[in-house]
Amino acid sequence: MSKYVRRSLLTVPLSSLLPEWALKAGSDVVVLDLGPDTTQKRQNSSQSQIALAIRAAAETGAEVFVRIRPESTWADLELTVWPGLTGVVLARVQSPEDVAEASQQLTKLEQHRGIPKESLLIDAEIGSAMGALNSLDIARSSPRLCALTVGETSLYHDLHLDPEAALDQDPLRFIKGQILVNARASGLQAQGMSYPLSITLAKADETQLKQAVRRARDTGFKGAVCPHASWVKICNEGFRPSQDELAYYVKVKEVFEDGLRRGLASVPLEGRMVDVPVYRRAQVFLEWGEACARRDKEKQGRIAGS
Amino acid sequence: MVNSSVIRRSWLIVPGYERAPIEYIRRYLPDVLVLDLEYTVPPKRKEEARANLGDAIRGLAQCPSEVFVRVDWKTRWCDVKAAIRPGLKGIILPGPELAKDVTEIDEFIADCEQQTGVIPGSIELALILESARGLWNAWNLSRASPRVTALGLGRVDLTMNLGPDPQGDFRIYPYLMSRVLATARALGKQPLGAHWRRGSRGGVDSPERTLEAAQRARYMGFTGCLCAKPEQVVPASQGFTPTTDEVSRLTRIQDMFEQIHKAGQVYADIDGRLYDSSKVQACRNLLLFAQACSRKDTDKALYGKAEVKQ
Amino acid sequence: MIRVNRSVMFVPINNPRFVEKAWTRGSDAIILDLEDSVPMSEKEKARALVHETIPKVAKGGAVIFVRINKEFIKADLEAAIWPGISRVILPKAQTADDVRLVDALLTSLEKERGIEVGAVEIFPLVESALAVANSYAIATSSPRVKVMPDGWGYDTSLDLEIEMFAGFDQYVYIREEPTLAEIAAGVEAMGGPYIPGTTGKVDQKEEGKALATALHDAHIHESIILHPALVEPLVAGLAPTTEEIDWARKVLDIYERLQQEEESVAEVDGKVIDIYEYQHAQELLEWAEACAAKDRRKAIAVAKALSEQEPASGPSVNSKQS
Repeated sequence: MSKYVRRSLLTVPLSSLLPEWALKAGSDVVVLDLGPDTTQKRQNSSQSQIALAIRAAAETGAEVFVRIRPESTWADLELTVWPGLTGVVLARVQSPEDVAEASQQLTKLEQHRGIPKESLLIDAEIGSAMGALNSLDIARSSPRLCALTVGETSLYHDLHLDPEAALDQDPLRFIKGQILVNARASGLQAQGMSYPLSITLAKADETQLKQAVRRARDTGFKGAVCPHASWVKICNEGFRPSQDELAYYVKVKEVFEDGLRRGLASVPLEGRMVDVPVYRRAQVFLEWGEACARRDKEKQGRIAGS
Repeated sequence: MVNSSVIRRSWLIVPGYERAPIEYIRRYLPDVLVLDLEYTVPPKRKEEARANLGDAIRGLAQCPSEVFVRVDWKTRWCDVKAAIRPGLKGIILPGPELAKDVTEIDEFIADCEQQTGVIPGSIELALILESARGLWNAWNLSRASPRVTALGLGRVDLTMNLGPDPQGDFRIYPYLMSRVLATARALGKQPLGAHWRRGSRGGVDSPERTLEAAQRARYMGFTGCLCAKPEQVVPASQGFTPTTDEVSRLTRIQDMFEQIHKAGQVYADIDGRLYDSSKVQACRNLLLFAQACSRKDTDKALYGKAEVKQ
Repeated sequence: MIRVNRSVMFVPINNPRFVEKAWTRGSDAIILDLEDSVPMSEKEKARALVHETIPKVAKGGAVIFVRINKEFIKADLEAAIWPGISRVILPKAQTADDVRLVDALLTSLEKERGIEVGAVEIFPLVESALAVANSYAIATSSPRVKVMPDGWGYDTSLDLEIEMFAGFDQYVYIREEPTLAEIAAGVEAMGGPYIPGTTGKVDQKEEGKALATALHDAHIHESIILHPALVEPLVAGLAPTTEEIDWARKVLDIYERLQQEEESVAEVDGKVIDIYEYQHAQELLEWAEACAAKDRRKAIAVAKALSEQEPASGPSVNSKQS
């Protein structure tokens, strides 16, 4: 079963003062983002202010990641790696070397800043054709890696796609499939959203967003980057099985185990056959449901306590 | 890297034995004219076609279309030799499978350039992948020579016997398109191909369906395709050009982003949709591309007028 | 000889009722299953049954395959590889080495038991993300691998932790990347296209027809099935139609004449005829002949089996010929 319950990864601009909506959103993960301007002198926030911001975000119960930009990897890591951080999202990873370089610097920063050795995780964001083609090697390149994330807007830029076109089918469906398969093949999780919300990034109505999240889940994604707080609750609910689904999986388990007692390894249920992989899959979904429930309880406890 | 101001949306194939290919330019104004030594030339006219290339290419000097020659894989050596001369922009090589295929041709082209006084290294290569092996090796093939400027998906419905699926696509065809696209973009080559579907045999189709196939390909990231018939040129060029509506929309996004995006923000909200800098950059790319298309079309129109005046 | 396995039907070997009726279903091929349809407690018994079961299920002219367990490769092969087994289904093949292990064991068993060395094929199942990523390596791992499926399946859905039949194509890359890898490797790729409306319910005649049509259109010649109801639509549907055969013969005639005149393309009845059409026509006629030969063999086998049967007893036979 997948290790991490990270259904909603809320993007928050990194500054010394985190906005209310970010602190209240209830996401599994907060991704602190430095924004696009790598030349901007960061007089706004000093290192110590950023360290405080990280701790504040962590106190909401979310895991905290920082998004590191490829044009300024070293500087971004220097600025943002402080205790309280779970890991970093490396934007636009092109090759295993990108991961290796970041990992080396993380090791140094862990040492100098009192962070447990080799504890910081890496989420590699794939935002280019080169990255997608290299995604298997990237996924295997470091024990720090926990996930591959689809960098959809970046992919549109790299592939000369039109973010405004409304198409019948996702033009990135194969590349997303490749990223997902290569992540799973390497024991990592994958994060992404289904088309068209993955690119329109609309503050969609609840029904649309629910359907989109369901589709992302049915494709194999374990969570999605939330560009807006309105996505968080629906991602948290949508990336876990519903009560009805859980009830069905319990039935699947019972029916199969009953069959086993009768010496059968394949039993019918509502017109379909339940055999070994179907049974095991039901177990996985039930465990995932429990893990999500535990995570939600943990977050509630934090909010109540704060 | 592919120069985004190099606009090659429609590549019209005409048999290499055509005495006056300039007529095709006048009438149809393709971005690229391809003198063919392959499919459109029957065995009994191959010699004639090769012999005709000299005059044909000379006759195309001063026209706004770039000139390529498509060689026949089986006879590529004498085809390439017959093709390399001043006025030729590049060679279309259909069906390579191994990197060494491309390296060998690259070296042979260099010899021919020397012998004919063509600027060394100037002849480009457009690789058209037409077999599973070629598609599987796309990465190595594209890197095997610096002459490679375009990577295309060929008429695989024919060469790979891909039948239609229940949704009307040839088996795995959209996937093959995606694979060619990713490889081409990763290496800075022009991705060539259109989204041909059931009914379009070997990329041959009506003007309406050619327009759709080109448009669908554009939305997947492709920027040009081979046209087997002259009637396909205008719809192909059109299909690969952003529409005026699209251009206005993209311009609006770009303008508004500047106004709305504040330092320290990650996203700007435009009409309920969120835009980060990558998304806006994507819009900007397409605007530049649309402008380049516009310039190309203007040049071609002027040529048309100049010709008429004469 | 072209293999004809239009329907490849699973038979749970520990179920005597299914085993007894298996030969009457008219399937081109039968898989004796030692894996997922056999509970762990029954596996040893199942192994011991293979040798005697082969002739029972082969009575109708089907070729016989066996699906072994990944965890019990040696024991399963030793129990199962006898004359009459022509293919091993290897589940959860993840790497080329997984296949090579089976290849080596097959070679020694073939030598021991009087089977032509190299005759037994290996059919690796692609059942995980890792297997999809390694599909080219798996396809090229051994000359025994002649045909291979894509990555779609129940075990893959378990590996990815996703449902199946969610109402859209969830598995695009998982099907199509291994398909390309296999064709590039020179192996027959029998994984079928996405069919909208598939529910995964087992006994659906309409789904059987939709499947046969989809595979026919895509020029796919093999399909693995769970339910006998799918045998008939596949055996009939995956063979060429009379119209296709007539047209193919016409194409041959026209193209050979073109060649005489050193031409390369013609248009007849609004259809283009060129080298590609000619090659496809040749392949189609070969396939048609192979299907007809298989049907003849099955008919002879069935007639023989019926004549040896006790009168007024024994199962009735589905002996459809195309």
